[in-house]
Amino acid sequence: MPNASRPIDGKDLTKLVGLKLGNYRLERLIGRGRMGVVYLAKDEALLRPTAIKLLSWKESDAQGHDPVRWFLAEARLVARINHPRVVQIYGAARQDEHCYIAMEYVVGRSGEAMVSDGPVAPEVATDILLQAAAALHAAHRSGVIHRDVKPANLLVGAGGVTKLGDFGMALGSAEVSAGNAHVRVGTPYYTAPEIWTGGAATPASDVYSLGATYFHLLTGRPPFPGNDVAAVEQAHLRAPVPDPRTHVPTLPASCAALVARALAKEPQQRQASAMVLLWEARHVLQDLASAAAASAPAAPHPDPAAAVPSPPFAEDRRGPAPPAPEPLRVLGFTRRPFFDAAPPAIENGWEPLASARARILERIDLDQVPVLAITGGAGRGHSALCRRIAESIGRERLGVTLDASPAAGDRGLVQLLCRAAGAIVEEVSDEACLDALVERMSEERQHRNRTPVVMLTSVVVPHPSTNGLARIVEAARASGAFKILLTGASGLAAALERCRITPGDDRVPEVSLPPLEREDIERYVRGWIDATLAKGAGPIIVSRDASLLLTLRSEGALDRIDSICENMLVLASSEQRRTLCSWHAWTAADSERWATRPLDALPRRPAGWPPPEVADVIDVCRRGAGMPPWPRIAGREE
Amino acid sequence: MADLALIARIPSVASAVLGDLAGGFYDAIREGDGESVASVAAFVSSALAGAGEELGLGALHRVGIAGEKRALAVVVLGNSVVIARIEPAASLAAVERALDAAVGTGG
Repeated sequence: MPNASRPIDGKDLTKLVGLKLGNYRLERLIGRGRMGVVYLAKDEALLRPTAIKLLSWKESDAQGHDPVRWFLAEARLVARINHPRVVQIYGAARQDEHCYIAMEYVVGRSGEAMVSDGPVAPEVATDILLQAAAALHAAHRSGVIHRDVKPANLLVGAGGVTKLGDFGMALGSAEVSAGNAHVRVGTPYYTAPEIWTGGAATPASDVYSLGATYFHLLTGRPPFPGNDVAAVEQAHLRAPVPDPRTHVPTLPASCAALVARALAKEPQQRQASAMVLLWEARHVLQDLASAAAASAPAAPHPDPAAAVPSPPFAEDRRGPAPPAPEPLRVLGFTRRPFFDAAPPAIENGWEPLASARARILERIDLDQVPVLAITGGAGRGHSALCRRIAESIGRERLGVTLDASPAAGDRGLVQLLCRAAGAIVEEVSDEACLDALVERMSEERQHRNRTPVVMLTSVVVPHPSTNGLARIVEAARASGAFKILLTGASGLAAALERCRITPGDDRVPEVSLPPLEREDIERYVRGWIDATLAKGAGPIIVSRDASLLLTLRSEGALDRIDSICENMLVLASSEQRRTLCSWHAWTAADSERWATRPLDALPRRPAGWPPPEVADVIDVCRRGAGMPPWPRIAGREE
Repeated sequence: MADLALIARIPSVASAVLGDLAGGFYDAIREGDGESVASVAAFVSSALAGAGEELGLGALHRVGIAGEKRALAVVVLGNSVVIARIEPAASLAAVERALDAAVGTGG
């Protein structure tokens, strides 16, 4: 490999700060590429920062190519792609002994720099993937194969805007493709199997590289790590595709499926194009947004997530729950119960909030209802209900779910929604994002002949992004391109009106969600346990008093039910018991999960359970259920 | 409702619990975790009631479970369930007879 800093004619290219090339004054060396060095320069005419890439190869390095021609070919190649997610080329020239390309300077970090700090948050990694796939698709449509997609070539700038750069290895797919010997290109960790075996680079090999890059971002390691290139090669050729959930168990099944397809050994088994990869990334992003919405904390706003049971795992398009964590495997669980407030098979097709779902679906179909509020107390299941609605309508129209709680992130609501909907924008302004959102929704509406639905969960008014929320609602009303479901606390519609998010003469209709009753909770808990316990495993028994306390402590909110129940199972597992009793229901945390806690950090059952103050609480619960008080004589000797 | 104190006085009965078929826990003598015992007994009774119907035994009356050292006798009285823990296990048959006599279900 050539030394990027080696002079083209004896001069050291790393010591050119201050040199002026055309309008560009070199200010700082910022990188070394395969074919040259890169400076941050100032465009003294347009007064903007510019990246200047200087050629460093000698003819002897170019393996038969004219290095200048090769270098300029890169500029022409990239310039003709013309896509907002591809690093823009401002110009290319030769001045004296220096051949250079002036290109867009992206302020931010490369994917490589990001992942050097550890795994990137799944929604950020998927967002990067989505944007890179859009760039790659544009390149492929221009007849350009990138050939070196890797984290280092993804530049993530302000607002999360990602750009694909360094098309230096793309040569061969266009201008200089003929008459040259095959040279294997790319970076080993991301190189497709067919390239290792001497095959030609194709869009499918770029898809593979982007899939490997995505895996690296998600997990903090490439899919086939190793220091020995031969071993890496063999792994690419023969090793099974690793499941990213091994490293990040909370990833949705759609994410693992995307990776598995992108890293398929056979090119024809991968996503048919980068555009298909982009669509799948949108799906993953929506699943991640839904999961985030479903697991949003109850406090401080009265509106987190919960669940709606639904079709059996086999029919759940999100795929099965992840594998059970160790404490629950001890009890015989193969899958993680109470995982994401989206419960599995429930006998007889029973589903909490089914009637509310039916009412909402009915109203979504009404043309005169562009915005609908779903309200109720904390954890009533809004988010999961939205997800279930999204699943219900998913076959016929687009549904996008987004956690709109103040804690959801530091980006503006409009931009978050834009990303969740998979709309690609060049600028990060709200205006540009709304335009892109409406355009994307309009396309969907036209394509499927049904209006898409945007579901914003955990809305609090006033919202930190009240203006953004108002503009989204306005866009929905004005364009008719999509409908909006807002979930939040009771009185949300009035609050929207007070904050002028909706016009006073046209109040948003509300559908109120009731809390789950004890019988519903028991069916819900039993449904989860039965669906995730291994066939043949011993039964898990829930005592009557445990059910009563669970109902009391959860207040019928599914997200709290999920937390309490999983923690009850963890406690029982630590005691090697299969009966969940009042102590478990009283002790289990309702907001954090204990599945990964060390056993010795778990609470221990005290002697003489229950203490009088707890027995008093149990009595209240029992009275409500028509039962006699807890027997104070338990354990007596007669 | 059965007299739990009477049942607990039967020889070889180590502890006794009173519950119902829904898993409710009402009383216990010499049993530190009557709640769990009542829950498990209700589960067993429900499961075996179905099996008994299938096998043509009629309504479930009594279930005996014997381990190596201890045994358990579960007697169903309408909606109530009496659970007697028996030590040693070999005394199960004798305790069952005494239970029938005590709760008036012998037959």
